[in-house]
Amino acid sequence: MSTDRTVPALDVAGVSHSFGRRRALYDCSFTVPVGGVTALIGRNGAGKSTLLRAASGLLRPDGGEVRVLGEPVGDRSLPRIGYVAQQAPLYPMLTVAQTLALGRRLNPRWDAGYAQHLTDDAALPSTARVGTLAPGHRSRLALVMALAKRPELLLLDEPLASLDPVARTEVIGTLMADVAERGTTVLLSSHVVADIDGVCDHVVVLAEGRACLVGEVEPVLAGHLVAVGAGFEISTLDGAEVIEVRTAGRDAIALVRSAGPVPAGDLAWHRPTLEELLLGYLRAAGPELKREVSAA
Amino acid sequence: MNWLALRLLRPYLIVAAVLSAASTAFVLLGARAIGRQVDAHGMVVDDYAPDRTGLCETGLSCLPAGTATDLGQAIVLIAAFVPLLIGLILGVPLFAREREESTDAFVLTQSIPPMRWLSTKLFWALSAGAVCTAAVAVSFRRAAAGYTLVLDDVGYTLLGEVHKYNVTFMVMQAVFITALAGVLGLAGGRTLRTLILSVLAWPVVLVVAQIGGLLLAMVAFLLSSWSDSLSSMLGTLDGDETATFAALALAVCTVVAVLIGRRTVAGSARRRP
Repeated sequence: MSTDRTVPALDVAGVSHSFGRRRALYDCSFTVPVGGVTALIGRNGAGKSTLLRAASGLLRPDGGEVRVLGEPVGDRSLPRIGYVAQQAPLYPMLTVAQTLALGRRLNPRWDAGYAQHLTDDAALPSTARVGTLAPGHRSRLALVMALAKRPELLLLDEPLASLDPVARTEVIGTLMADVAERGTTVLLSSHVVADIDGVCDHVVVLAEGRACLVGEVEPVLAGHLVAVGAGFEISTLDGAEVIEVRTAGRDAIALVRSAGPVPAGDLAWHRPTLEELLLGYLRAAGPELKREVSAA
Repeated sequence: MNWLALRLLRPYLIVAAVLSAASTAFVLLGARAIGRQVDAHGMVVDDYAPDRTGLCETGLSCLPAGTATDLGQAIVLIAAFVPLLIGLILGVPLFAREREESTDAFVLTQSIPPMRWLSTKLFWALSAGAVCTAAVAVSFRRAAAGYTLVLDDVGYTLLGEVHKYNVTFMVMQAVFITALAGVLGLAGGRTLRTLILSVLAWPVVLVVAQIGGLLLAMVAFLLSSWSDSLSSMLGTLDGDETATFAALALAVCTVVAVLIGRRTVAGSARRRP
């Protein structure tokens, strides 16, 4: 694979898109670096699928630009992209073997040996019609179709949703192996934080159609703190960039963006887990995401 | 892409081919049976003539009542509605089903350009529609058109305006309905809605073909004013020539529909959440 590693795998610049009156994406901007797994996290309706459809060329956004591996999304970028849609749509009347043969016909870079290997690993019966496969098996086949195309950028729209825990582990293993061996860039969307914990090395959080958190997992975690203590103490975090505050009785927990050392005081501070961080951003999602807490 | 297009079209191709074969056989066998009855009654029915000579004069030259008339009426119905049916069978599911089942999201993210997907599918559907309809239209025109002119029924005579006794017009009608239904399915993405819209559009299509044909004939007449013989020919069109101009209008409409389809593919995803 001859991917220029200085060019982002995906460059989303000021993308906006509406479906009628509903705004799906609004001035959304971020980049996905080449190689590794980037998780696209957001609540239902946050714009994840719309964004992935725009990146795959299925949707032309109303505004902004999406570039894949340095070039605008279009016919030329199609061979370099693998895309698995949310419901893993495949032709139900074709058998598994016919579906693989179709992949070979439609993709010049098709790797038949790899496709067969992945199909065998997933225990997909080659003579079974796709329409008769269980949703999990259909998702596995859709993933095989995307991977055997040998893409440089793999766009996966909630690929783990219909998989059982064993299949989930196997799929993640396959993805990680592909990333390690070929340097494939994977962008996978999910609204289940546990799905991506330990899998991704970059994260993009979408809220209200905008990217509100973008970065490498470790630096992003290092740049945040969780404060636990009495509610009135939390409210004295004057000037701190508080992402989200949750109260339970007199106690409160706050997610704070802070690159500095742990502040002194009675509050208990700890570094957030990825789940705490992402849930904090997802819960805080709203028109006014970052809030400055003023003294009560 | 050809393999996929033909594999997806296969059930509809089979239905269209069976309908075409059955209709052709019925027209040929029906015409032969009518011919025998006509002979038995000592009537002489001329071959079809474009200027509509030999129209039915009640009690003198109409088809004998009974089997001959019934068969003649059935043949008129076939000539009038089979092109529409073939167009609907091939055109309605062409893209609507892919959109409905979201399989377009799979095929349009493979390495082939979307325009190739559109053009390949349209090519096979339009070709199949043309061939299936041509078989019926040729058999109707050659074997049965003369008999259907002398049907003693105003309604069936009026149905002649739907097929115009013209092979090219019948074929182009099927081709255009296929393209129209395909593009409606591409834009709407719902099979039932596409079917209803296509059926509702059919009478409009006939009117547009009629008016468009006349306009094209007028343009041709004006453009040929430098030649006395040409302008004289275009100024006095017979039924066949009028139908050919109407078919030409349908051909233009088909090209427009395909162009709209191309634009729809380029921007169809805009409307889809």
